[in-house]
Amino acid sequence: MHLLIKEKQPVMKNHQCNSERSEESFYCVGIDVGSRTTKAVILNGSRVLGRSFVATGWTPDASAEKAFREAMADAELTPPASVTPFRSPPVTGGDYGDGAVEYRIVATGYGRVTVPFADRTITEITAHARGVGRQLPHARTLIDVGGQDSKVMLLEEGGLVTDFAMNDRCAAGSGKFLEFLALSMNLSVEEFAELAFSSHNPVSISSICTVFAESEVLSLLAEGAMREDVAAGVHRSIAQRVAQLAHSLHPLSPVAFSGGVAYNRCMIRELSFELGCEIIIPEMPEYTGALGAAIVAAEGM
Amino acid sequence: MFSQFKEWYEKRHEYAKSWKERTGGKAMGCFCSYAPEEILVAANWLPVRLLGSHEPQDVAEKHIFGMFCPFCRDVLAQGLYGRYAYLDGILLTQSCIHLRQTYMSWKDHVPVDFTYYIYMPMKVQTPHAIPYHRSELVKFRAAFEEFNRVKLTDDDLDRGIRLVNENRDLMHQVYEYRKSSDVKLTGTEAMWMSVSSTWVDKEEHSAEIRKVLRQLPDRQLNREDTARLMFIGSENDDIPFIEMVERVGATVVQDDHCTGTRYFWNLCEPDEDRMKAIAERYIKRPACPAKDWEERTRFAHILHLARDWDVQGAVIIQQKFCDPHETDMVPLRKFLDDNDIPNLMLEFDATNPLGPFRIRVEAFLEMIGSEDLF
Repeated sequence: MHLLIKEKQPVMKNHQCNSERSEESFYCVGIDVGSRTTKAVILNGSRVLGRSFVATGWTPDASAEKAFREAMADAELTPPASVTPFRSPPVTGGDYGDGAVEYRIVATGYGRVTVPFADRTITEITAHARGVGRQLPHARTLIDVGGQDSKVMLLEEGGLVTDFAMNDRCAAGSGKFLEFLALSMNLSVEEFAELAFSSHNPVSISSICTVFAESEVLSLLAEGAMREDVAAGVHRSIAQRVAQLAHSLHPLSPVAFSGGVAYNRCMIRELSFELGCEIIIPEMPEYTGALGAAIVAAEGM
Repeated sequence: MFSQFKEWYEKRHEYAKSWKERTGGKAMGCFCSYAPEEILVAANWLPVRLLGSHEPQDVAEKHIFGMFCPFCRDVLAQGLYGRYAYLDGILLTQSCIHLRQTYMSWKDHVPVDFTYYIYMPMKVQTPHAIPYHRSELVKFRAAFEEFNRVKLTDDDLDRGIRLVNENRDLMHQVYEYRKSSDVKLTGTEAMWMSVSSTWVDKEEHSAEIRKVLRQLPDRQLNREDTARLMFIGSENDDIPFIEMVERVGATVVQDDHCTGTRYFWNLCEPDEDRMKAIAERYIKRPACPAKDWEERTRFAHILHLARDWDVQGAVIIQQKFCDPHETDMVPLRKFLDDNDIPNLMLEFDATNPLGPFRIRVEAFLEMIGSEDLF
């Protein structure tokens, strides 16, 4: 859907139809409604104008709207009074003067279908791939450790996916696994990651199941294992699961790692160890999916 | 146009019970698509392929270990729940050990008058397979005739062969209408037709297909913009899954399933020795991977289907713990990759999470159509 919103500062004036307009008058919005967090990116041409990051919670539709409004504010664009008009039929031509600009919104992530004002939806596989295709065009393999699933993609130039794999029916190897086990040690995910990074002697965690792994972690701690070694062992266990997925695809270097978990230095180290290669990280990896969605929106302009 | 097939699919037990009342005939539960239906039809029996219900069940675990495939456990559960109580016999034609276990448990725990286990050769490519299978079918025929207290004549067998062949040929004709870009039926409709053919009376099923064939040429589905997919796997009667796939931008135009093409693809070729003709038909049909060792003849057949039906990608439907198909998985995917057929593998259980499957299917469709997302 195309929509008209008044901008604080007019960008384009006195153009009569789409075909005559430059890309500066188009704002491409990507909203990545993940199982844990929702991210939005606003693109204008190749420039990122604004970003936002909010918790998804139990209402993904409301989180998507909030993320959109906050990204608008970050871009210093006037948010619309309501998103309801977005549901009206697309604007296909006419006078776009007086500072009016056109938006195209692409939603991705597990909650993508709950975004009523999106022009279209794409899967997070395509979104992350397109995002990394822009940020790290030479990457040939991409790993995204999401809240409830992990994905490995093989890429061509420009972030075109040639194959992919996802974990099935189980939280092992996902960000949620990390969060759950951090909680079992009374740590935030960030503290857990840093503690793990300080260890160079990860213990072996043999349980694949998230719930059983928690019992195993508690047993190891009770037996006197070092907290940092247990934390590092949890990271290695996830890296092994992700590496299994990756190996099923015959991964190519360079390997990129996107999503919020890519801030985790221990996870990068363990993935690098398991895959036997350097892992490259895009700038602000938590926004890669939203950026990719915005790029797909731009492709449709 | 396909509503009768859908009704048969949804009311399979009601259909079989009413068929028995109407005709006075008997019904044989068949554990596998290798059952020699020609012999059953020759004796006026109704072959009924035994399938699961795709509902959670709690009765099969004490008879079958949990790492046997969910399909075989689901099938046994239907027997234990009494949903197939109208059957007069059950017939196993050896395919995999999982279904053999289902047969054995059924025989022990579900009352039924006639049971028979045909020791079908496991290596169908060997030249010994046809005479071996013929001799096993002759033994089965004798036991079956003794139970029925009626000898089958050559005329009976000819009639059985003709009715089953007619049905196979008609389904072939319907599948031809899935070849062009102007596809005339959805994969869901094809599944209703082919799956229901495994338990509906052949003459009734064929009559319904003839009606459909008269209407298909003028049908407009307008699905030219959808991606053309093929399904590959073992048994598959999962309607919610195929409906979901066809809602998100694809049309399933071909399959390699034993509830689809592997069941009906080749005909029983006439031979003075009717039993040899029937044996040969099952030995030479597109093979189940349980019997396709080590040449894997099935791969060339899959490629032929994919090419002739112009598929853009394949979804491999892997029943969890189905060993024969798991044995083929790595070489099959490599074979498809080498032949430029993008493929997506999904692991199926008796009940499936449609949401996560949808993400994978949509991502796959985006991948194969990646240059034109908007």
